[in-house]
Amino acid sequence: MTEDAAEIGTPAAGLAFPAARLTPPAPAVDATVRPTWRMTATIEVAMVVGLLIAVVGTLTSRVDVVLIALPLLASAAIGFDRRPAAGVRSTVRVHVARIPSEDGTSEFEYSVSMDAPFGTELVHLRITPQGSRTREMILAPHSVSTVTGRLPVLHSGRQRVVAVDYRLIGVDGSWRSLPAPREVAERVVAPVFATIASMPLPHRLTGLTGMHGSARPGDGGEFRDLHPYAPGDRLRRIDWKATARRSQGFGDLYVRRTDATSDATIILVIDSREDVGERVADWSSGPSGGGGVSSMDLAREAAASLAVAAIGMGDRVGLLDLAAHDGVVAPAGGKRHLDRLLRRIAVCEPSGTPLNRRRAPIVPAGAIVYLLSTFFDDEATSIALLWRAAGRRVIAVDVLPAPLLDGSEHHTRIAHRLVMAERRRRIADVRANGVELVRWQEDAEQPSRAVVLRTLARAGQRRR
Amino acid sequence: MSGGLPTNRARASIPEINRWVPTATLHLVFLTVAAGLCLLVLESPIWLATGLLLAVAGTLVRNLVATWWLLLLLGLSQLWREPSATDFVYYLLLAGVHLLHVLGGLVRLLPWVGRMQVGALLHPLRRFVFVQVAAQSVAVGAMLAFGGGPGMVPGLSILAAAVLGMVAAVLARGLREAKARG
Repeated sequence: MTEDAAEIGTPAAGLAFPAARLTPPAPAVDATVRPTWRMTATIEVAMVVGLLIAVVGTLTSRVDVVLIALPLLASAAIGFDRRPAAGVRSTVRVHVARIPSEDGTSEFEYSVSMDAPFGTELVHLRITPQGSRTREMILAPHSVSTVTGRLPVLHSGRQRVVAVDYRLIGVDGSWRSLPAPREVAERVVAPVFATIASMPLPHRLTGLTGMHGSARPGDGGEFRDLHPYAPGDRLRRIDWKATARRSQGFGDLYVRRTDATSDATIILVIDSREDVGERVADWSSGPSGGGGVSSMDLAREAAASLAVAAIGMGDRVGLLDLAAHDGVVAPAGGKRHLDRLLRRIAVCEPSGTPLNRRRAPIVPAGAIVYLLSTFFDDEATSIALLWRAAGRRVIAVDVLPAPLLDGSEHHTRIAHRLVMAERRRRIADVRANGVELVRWQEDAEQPSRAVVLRTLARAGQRRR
Repeated sequence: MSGGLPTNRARASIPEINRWVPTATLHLVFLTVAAGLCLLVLESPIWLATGLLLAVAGTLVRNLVATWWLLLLLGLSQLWREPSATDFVYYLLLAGVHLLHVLGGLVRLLPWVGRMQVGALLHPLRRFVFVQVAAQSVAVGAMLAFGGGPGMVPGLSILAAAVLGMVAAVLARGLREAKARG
């Protein structure tokens, strides 16, 4: 089977397949705390003011003045009587569900519910949906379960869907609790994946079984040559017609040899040390939490697409996360392994601590390495060059999204120009050393991703 | 679009709650009630200006000092008025001082920008009405029974204070029993 025939019947917007299997059941936040209550000055004020008015009214023998103090003292008495019991727990629950939208995207729908202890009259709830500002709400405790909201799924990977803070308020503001610790509802969004029709393979196939034709003789489908029979050849391989045509003497036999089929070992290397979005002005502010595609979105999408395509062809796929100490998935094949890979790809994220490697991670001999990176520093490129020098075929997958400079200040534009020039130089260096390049995000200025992959696949086929 | 993720700046929807009002409404209600009462019961320009200043300060400042002085000023302003069972201003003052106390206690804990469920006001409002029904009834009864001017019934205020204490105790006990009954 040729590489071009490696067609995987996976829809481009294949949310249904990975999302259904990867997204775990709604990880509802279920946090119980013992609120620490504090009496506010309201009771004291009511008592002091009420008593003062009552005393003055008594001294002046004015019953009408004394009676003005009545509701104040009654409020103070009620507030003191209905003081919340110490040690009674309150529980907040956040349920998150992912629902498809009509336009092919999807949304998170969250709901907040709460069990408030006796004495709670109001709940001061603060909800911060991802990529949005904090919303403050004052709710009756029995109505908190009606708080629902939706937000678009902007990124793949681990998403902090909604953060919830709350504080309880007692009767007439006489009591209030200290703010409960912030609870964050997270969901892991499986990356979508695109169909890959042609996939570059290693220069040399070393596997013993698979779907790719290799250059060594063996049991396969592709005719290789006719060869004089040698001890060890199977008798069923004897081509009797060729023997009749070619044999010079008694006992000369010819066998029909075929090319062996083989599988490839593919290592996906995700450089998840940084996550930059489209907006250049936001690059220095850490991971992109707002809208738009980020580099990690593209990296996850590329890795998932390559993994699905490769495992569909019967190849062995491994994963290496450059930012994580435990980010290695050993190469293997099969549907169960694909699930494992997709789960691991989905949770690749910047760890916040740079991982300085003194030597390149070990990659199996004969494997092809797909290095998914933004190439903003020399770490990824130096590792790529080491692998290339060791004879591996390395495909650099550029996952930097097309930059948006809207609203950027002058100095940001200059800095961007410098960074991009350095990046271009870095990429040119690795290309000069035999590393091939694919830009994952499609744009009008570049050849189509499918065309580039097909070209690389054919180039590899010629060499093999 | 990259593989099904929206690239636009889509934002989260505003969380849905039942019927709501902006929390600033409560602040403004406090200011309106306070200013209205000041205009109604404070006749001296100096005291009126002081009352309005305290009303504004009680609205804007998040502590109860201004509210405390405002309640005291409004409560004691009755000393300059002739007690009368038919004086509706007195009953308004009785309700207004209580309402300012309730609102003052709440608004200092509420943000200016936010939303408040209308249902969340139900309990404070019910309690306000409950206390007011009792207080206004006692006030009407007392004013009808002893409807004289100042100093006409010496010792009457002591009796009134005792009644007041008893009513407060009964209220507290009743609420506790209601709570126990669930």
